[in-house]
Amino acid sequence: MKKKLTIGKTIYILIAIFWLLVTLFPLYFTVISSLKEDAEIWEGLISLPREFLWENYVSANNVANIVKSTMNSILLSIGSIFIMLICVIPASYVLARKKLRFSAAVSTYFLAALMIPIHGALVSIIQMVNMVGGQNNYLILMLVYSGINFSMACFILTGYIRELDKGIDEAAFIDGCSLLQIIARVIVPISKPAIATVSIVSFLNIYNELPIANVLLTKKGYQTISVALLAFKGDYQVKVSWIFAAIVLATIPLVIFYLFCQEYVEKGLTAGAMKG
Amino acid sequence: MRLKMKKSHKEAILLTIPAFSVYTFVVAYPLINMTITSFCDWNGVFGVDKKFTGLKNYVTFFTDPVIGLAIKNISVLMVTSVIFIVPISLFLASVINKTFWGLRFVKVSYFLPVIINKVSIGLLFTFIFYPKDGPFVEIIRALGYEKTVNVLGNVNLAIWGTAFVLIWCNVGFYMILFSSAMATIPDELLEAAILDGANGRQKFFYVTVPLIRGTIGIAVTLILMNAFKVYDLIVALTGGGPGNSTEVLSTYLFKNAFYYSRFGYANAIGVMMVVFSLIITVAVHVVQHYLDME
Repeated sequence: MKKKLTIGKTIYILIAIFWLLVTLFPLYFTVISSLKEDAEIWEGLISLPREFLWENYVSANNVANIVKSTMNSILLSIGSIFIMLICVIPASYVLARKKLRFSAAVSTYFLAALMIPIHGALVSIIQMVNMVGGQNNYLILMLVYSGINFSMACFILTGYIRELDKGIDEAAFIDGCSLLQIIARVIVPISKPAIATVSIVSFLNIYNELPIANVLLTKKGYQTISVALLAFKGDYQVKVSWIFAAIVLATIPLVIFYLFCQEYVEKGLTAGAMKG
Repeated sequence: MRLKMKKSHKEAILLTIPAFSVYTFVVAYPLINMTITSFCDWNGVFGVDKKFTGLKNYVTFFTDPVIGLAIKNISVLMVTSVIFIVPISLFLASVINKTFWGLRFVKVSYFLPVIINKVSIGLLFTFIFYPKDGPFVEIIRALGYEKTVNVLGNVNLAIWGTAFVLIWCNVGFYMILFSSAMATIPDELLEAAILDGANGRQKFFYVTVPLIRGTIGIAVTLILMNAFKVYDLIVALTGGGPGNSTEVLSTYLFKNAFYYSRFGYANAIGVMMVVFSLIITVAVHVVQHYLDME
């Protein structure tokens, strides 16, 4: 079916292409510049490098510890998500099925942080961590990160579990399973989509988190990727091409993550945001 | 059975305890502590007593010229975000809801900025706006403006540069939000519109947009909140400068705490941020309710 190309349609397509260029150019510029000599970057803004200087990547990594910091961020994210899930899945189940006498009050308490934006309290959180001597301590930082994503996770999980058929877990209960057994054997397997959503949203939040990590991770080998990248800001000793190389290195894991679970990331992020 | 229920209630309490304690220590306690500290003078050193000063920090908040500037800047970011993100992302959502060759590539490209680390984006755009021969300067030169412009180094322009970057990295997210809302519209409605002789544009403005009004309302709330609490991007892009020209509440809060050691004041800013966010959320709800009434 061939449709006629009207003026309106042409404009429509042109705007779509225009925004595609607006989105892609900065990314393209980063990639080509990361492989150039500094002077060359500003000579040809869209031209491919004369010579592919892969050693920029080595230098970038040497200056800012990009690979190590990326691993740190991934480790922190996975650890935090693990702690969060261990805490939040049982609690969500208990609250969704109203197993407590005061379920409603606890629910309100847990979800209050959705209404009260936590970012104002960041300084206070950092103070508390300092008070218990938690600088450069990953375990404490993981607890903090799991707490920050807690309300969102609790909201999504209780919502999901509430929709599940009560018969499934009641049957297990009558068969003599303890609540913990029901959660591990029945609830977790059927809640995989919700758990995936919660994990993905938290992963992106924690992996990219800056303010807390920036203050609390002071030792060089402990820094996360955001902190390592921020060190380039205002550092005029390093070559511009190295900064571009560092940006590319920091972005690759995120792009791979996104491409591998594209549907989940898109659905998860929107579901995580619609919580309000 | 009775005994079993009792046992299970005990277990339910046990299962809630880890979540309860983590949440209390990490979220609830700091929020309370923030409120208490906001009424005190404190330099952040442990062992030094917090001195109760009543409303002094709040009086400072409402008289501090930097706060005025920060609120003005946040308003610019919020207003430009809503004005540009809503139409652009609605447009992009309509693009990716069509089927054409290369759809996945286009969709992924539009969405990419959403997931990229905001510090990376900030750093990257300092070079896009590079004053001498950067891409932005070259573009306006090509458009016939001969002078060099230092967008991020100019007191009047920096906030507009920041607003652009904020829009750039958020549009993809709302595109996905709108596109999934559009996917829930029943085909019959759109077919009926076509039978009534509506063209593509009429179909979009008279059928699609009104039907996803609820989602647009949520999106506006999210856009406002995101612009309100922006931190990473500004730190990486301008650091609040030049001067205080791109200062926002979150950057100023951190400066007060960790550069000037004025923790009492920083926490008062934190409390005010919470209050403002609540006002914004409520205001959007009220406006939407009012619009729905008509």
